Amino acid sequence: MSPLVKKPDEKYKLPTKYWLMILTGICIILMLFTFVFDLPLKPFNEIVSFTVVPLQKGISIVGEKLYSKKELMNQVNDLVDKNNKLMKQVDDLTYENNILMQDKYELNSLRKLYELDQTYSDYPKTGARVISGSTGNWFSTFIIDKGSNDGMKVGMNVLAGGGLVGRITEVGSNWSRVLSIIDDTSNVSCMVLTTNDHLMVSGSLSTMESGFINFNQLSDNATDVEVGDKVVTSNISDVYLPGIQVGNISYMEKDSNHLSISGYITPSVNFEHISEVLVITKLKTEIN
Amino acid sequence: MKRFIIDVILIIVFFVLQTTVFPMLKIASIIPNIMVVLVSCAGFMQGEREGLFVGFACGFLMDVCTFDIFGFYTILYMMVGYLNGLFHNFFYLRDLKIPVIMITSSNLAQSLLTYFFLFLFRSRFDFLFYFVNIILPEMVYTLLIAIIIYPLLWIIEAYIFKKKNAESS
Repeated sequence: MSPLVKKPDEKYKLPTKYWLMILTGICIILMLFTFVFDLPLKPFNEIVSFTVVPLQKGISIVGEKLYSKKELMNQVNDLVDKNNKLMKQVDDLTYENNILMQDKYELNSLRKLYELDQTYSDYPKTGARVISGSTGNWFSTFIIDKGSNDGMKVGMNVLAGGGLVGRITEVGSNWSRVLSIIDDTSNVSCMVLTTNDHLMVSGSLSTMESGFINFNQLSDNATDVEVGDKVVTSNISDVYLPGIQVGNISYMEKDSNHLSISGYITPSVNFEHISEVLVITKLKTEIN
Repeated sequence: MKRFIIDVILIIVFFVLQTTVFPMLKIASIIPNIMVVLVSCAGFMQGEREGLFVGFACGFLMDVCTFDIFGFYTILYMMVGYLNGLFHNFFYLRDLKIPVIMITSSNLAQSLLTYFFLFLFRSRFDFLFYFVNIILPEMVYTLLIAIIIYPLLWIIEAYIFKKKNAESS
């Protein structure tokens, strides 16, 4: 039958190829808008907030419980042995701790003296649970269970286990998306803690499997920097608060241009098993 | 209407599995892509129209949750659904060979396009590395998962919608 002849009672449907063209056009416009103008897509984010996020929350809580049960069974025997060893260690450490506490009081009073008391332990923080991992193998983003209702904003820094995890790049009403520093598109301006030399830390898919992230643009004059030095976020970064630990330098090499040094950093966070994170609820722009 | 509801449920279930359960089942830090299985199956089981819309919905969800350039995955998945739909006429429910080839080639095409647009354009030239370490393992893992998932989608198709060619094999 010719496509032009249609039964009178049949409901008219727009042919699929026109749908394809229309939807592709819409997508291309959206791509241009988000790429060029960086517009927030609030209404779309809300669709996800009330369909998928509640399910993800439920499953991640159940999964975590099952996982911890399994781990528990495996580890009971190990734990008994470890406990005995640790009890001995506790005695030693208590003694050591007493000495360190005395040092700490001294340090605090000295810090006040020098007005240097703003380390990153002073930033206001809130905990959040990771409810969804990345959707594919190309990018390292994840979703946490707090959103604009809990005061999350784009650009807030995310920590776990004392090190930098990433920053929030998108916020819905009850979820936010975190771009981790090991993602291929992420760049963090950092400095070496000991010498204050600036460098750029960029995530890379190709070195992620071996557990490293790249750094580059370390000045050739920075001769005092050594393998094992601590790297923290720098004070000249736009989005990252200064002084947050990123990792340790584990390999460095002079670039072929003989002007800069690049190499690998071992991140201080284990990105394989992040289930809870801390979000610093203060933006870099608010602090200055 | 029945079809619409079941498609919506399938999309949400697959997306939630993709983002919560499968990241826990990583093999060599590779996540299988079950969304492409769903979109591809929707295409050649139900035709290009349904494939297009299922692909649009899946890609849309992926876009909200992953990348900053909104619309990239939407186009990719929509195309996968549509192109798979063009092979609707070759489709027999009991045959496993064609679906598996379709799913695998869809996944391959999609990975290659992702590499081309999102990595090559940012001057990541080491194609062989990405092919061996990401594209190929993902393809194999997705293939294995597809062999498990396909019969489930087959059962839904055959018994809920009482497909006429369910018995022709």
